[in-house]
Amino acid sequence: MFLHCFKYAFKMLLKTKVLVFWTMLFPIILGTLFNAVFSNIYESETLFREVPVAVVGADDNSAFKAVLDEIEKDGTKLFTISYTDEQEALDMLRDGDIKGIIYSDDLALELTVNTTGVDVSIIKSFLDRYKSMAGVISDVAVSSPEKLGDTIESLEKQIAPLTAAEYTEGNTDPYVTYFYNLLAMTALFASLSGMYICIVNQANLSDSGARLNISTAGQRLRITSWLIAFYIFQYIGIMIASAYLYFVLKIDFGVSFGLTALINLLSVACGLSLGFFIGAIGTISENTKRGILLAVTLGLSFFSGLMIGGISMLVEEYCPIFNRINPARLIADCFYSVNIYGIGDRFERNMITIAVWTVLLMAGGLILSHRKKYKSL
Amino acid sequence: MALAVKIENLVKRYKELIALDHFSLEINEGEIFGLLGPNGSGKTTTINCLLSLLDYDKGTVEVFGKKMTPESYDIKKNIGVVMQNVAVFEQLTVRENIDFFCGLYIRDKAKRKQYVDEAIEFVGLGDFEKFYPKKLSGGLLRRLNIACGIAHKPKLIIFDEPTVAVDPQSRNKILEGIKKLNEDGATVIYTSHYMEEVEQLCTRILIMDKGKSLASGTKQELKKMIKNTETIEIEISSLTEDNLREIEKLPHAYDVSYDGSRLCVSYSGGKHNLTRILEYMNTHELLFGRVYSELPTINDVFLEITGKELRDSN
Repeated sequence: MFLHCFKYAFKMLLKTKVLVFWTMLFPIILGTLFNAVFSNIYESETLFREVPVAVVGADDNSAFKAVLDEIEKDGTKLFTISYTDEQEALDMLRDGDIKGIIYSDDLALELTVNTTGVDVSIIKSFLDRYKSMAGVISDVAVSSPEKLGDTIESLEKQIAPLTAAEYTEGNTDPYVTYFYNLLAMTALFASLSGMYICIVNQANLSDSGARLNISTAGQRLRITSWLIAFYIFQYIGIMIASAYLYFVLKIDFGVSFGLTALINLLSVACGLSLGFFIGAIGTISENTKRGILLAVTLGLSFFSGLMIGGISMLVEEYCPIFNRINPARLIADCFYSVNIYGIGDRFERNMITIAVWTVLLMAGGLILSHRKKYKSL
Repeated sequence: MALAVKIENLVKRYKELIALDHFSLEINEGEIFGLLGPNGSGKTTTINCLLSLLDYDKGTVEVFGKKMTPESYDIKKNIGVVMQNVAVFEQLTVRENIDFFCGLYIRDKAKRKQYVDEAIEFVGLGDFEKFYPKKLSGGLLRRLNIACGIAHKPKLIIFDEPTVAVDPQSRNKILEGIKKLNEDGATVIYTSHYMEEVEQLCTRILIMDKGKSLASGTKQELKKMIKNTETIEIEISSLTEDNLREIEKLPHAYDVSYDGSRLCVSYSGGKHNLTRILEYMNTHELLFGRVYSELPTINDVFLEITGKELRDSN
């Protein structure tokens, strides 16, 4: 009888268009839209690019030319340099092909720009530092030439209070968090299935529930078989959506596909149990419960940052505890933490919290729905 | 005769409302038992308590001699229910629905297939096997509802107002089907507020209202409970007060009413009431039109007991 209930639950799932849409099609559609909107934004607007400059009279200042040659090497390239004459340089500046003109002679360096911005600030900052260092070296060469070598050596050393260290080779594109939240929301949409299972099996919530309750198939057997069938269906759905994001849209999650599959295993269970619990509360109509469920799911996803990326940071600032318990945030943070920090305490904490939510909600739903008789139908 | 169902002293309250008020009934195996009453009288509440779906405050319920509980699966396997509301799954075809519900009782696949085929034939849905419920008319949907309830060949079948909003053709098919099920050995409980169906179908009837049993027995026994044994109506346009007083004095006549075009006389007992009144008409040279003679109906029983019509109560 377990297999009989399981088989028919699965059959019904495949024909329930609402569930197929929210589980499979909606994340694919939304992922495609995200990709269309966010692709290349990071590379075009966030990542550092060499600043195009023109240098006029570089041959008149061999020291400065030597420094320019040094910074053109791979790994330290700051500028894309065009050595040209003044007229051509002015033309390039007017046309926007360069951000500034450096006039170099043996006495001074001058900068000509026609706009402001980060690139101009970089050029100016570079020139100021060169002038400062050149001034020190000149003064030491005149006053204490024996210390010139040590002076040059110390200037070459980079002294900084902080050093950069990478934990992983993850994807630093901030827009990838939208895809994390998309998978989190998809997992939480499994709650629709959970709620459906509860309503369909309860006599006081549906006519089919009454018919099922007078049969010889016990409530525990029916609910267990349906939960397993729906869980498998939801999991297949989210994995199809994940595979689409990974292999068709080629989104770099910074997390292996295998680990994504593991996170999805738990997140779908959490979503299913959320819906089952809400379905078991009270005797309000199915449509009202569905409305409540969608509001809760979308609300949790919103505060996780699905619609506005910075929301989760705001929540972290003003109500951090909510980020620690919001299932949508926890699921998205599983991906984020592995991407940036690797598998560690934060990831484990998130997974354990999701597991606890799953157990509590499922237990609560089973307790509330395990009625043998009803006060009213 | 063995009892299929025994309900004793059942009390069910919904806060201040008493839905069932020390209600009792006994149903023998092999009967078609009618539970008749207006909407809100407690019929469906009785059925739900009988099936252990509803919690009740007092009383006992026994089915086939055993106490009925939610875990009485040995009893439940012998019960089939055709709910008042259609309870099928929209995502499954006609055949799949029947197979699913039958499969909750019958594990053997071959046997189940045979039962499902027979159920489809029984309700006449052979041409609609692969249809989904939303494609079926109201009458066909009701037939599907029936098939889902009886496919596993239960010994006790409960029909809870199965012909509500059903077309006449489907209605007749349903009633014929119920008779056939009874002939095949099933005990049937039939609840309705349509007294014509209950009169036509049931071997024994219980009339209830406001959670109480008002009267029970065969049709003949119930009709003997009331004063009225015959009602004669005559279309006549001119009658005087003297005529009316004289008609009232006819043997066995106890109630006379006249609205200007129709004379209605109620009799209690007597065999030749029609002959006597027609003789009176002829003797007094009263011209009349059509004449109707009716035996009392269950509605008349209900009317006399409660003072209201079954339909008025709806």
